Amino acid sequence: MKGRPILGVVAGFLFGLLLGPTLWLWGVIELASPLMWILPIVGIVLGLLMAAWAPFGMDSTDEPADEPAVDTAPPARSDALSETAPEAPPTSGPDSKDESSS
Amino acid sequence: MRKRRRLSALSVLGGTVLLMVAASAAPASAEVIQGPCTGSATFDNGVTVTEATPLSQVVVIPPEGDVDYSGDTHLPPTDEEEPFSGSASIETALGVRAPIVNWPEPPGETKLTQSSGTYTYEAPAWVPRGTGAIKVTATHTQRGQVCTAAFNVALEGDPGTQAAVAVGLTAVAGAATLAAGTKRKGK
Repeated sequence: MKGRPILGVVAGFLFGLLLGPTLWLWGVIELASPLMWILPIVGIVLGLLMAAWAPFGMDSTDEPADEPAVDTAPPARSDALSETAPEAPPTSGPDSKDESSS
Repeated sequence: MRKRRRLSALSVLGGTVLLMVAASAAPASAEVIQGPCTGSATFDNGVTVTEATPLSQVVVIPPEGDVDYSGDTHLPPTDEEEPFSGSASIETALGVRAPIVNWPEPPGETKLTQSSGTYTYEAPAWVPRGTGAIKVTATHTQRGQVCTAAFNVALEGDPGTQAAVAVGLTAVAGAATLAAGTKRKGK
C-alpha cells in the first residue's frame, strides 16, 4: 500500500463510529438503526481504500530520472536539502570585483 | 494491474453501499410485537400513542410532563392476588436495551387485569432533544401471558451543542481518514 493503512483503519473506524450518533442527533437515522454498527465497518473499508489508492502527496515517478541508483543518505534529509539549499553566489570573478569598487 | 486493483476496490465500495441502503430501508410494522394487550398514552402536547401506532410514525413528546395512560391485559378477572411484572426500555443498535422504568415499584401482587392513571416523567438533561427516533419497548407479564409493544419517540427541542460537537469530531475523524491517502515517502 502506498498510503497509511494503520491510520486509515483507526481513523476510518472512529469516523464511522462518530458518524452514526451524529446522524441520529440530526434526526437522520434512528437510534436502533443498523447503520450504527455498519458505519464503523464502512469507515474501516474507506480508510483502507484511501491507503491503497493514496491520491495525495508527491508521486515517486515525479523524482528526477538522473538520480543515483544507490543513495546512502536518508531520503527525507536529501529531499529537504535539494529543495531548500540556496544556490551558491559567485565568490570571485571580474564582475563582482567591479561592483564592489564602484 | 492498477486498473484491476481499482476495479476490485470500487466493487468492495459498491457492495458496502448496497449493504447500507438495504439495512437503512426498515419496513414499517405495527406497534404490538407480542400478546393480546391493548393500551394508550396521552402526553401533555396532545399526542396519543396506542397499540395500533405504527413504528414508522415517530411520536414527538415533551421532555417532561404528565402522561395519561390506560392498559388492558384482556385476562379474565380474578379474586386472588397474583404476581405481575413489567418494564420499559430504550432499544439501541445491536439489540442492546437500556431500562427506563420497571413495575410494580415496590414489587407486589394485584387482582387487576386492567389499569389507568397519570404518570409524571422527566427525561434526564443529558438526553439530547430533537434527535432521530428512539425505540421504546415495553413488556408486561401477568398470569403467564407476555405482552410486548414498541414505539418510536423523540423528545421535543433542538439537539443544540451536542450535535455541533458531534459534527466537529466527525469532521476531524473524516479528515484523518482522508489523510490515510497521503503517500509515504520512499513508496
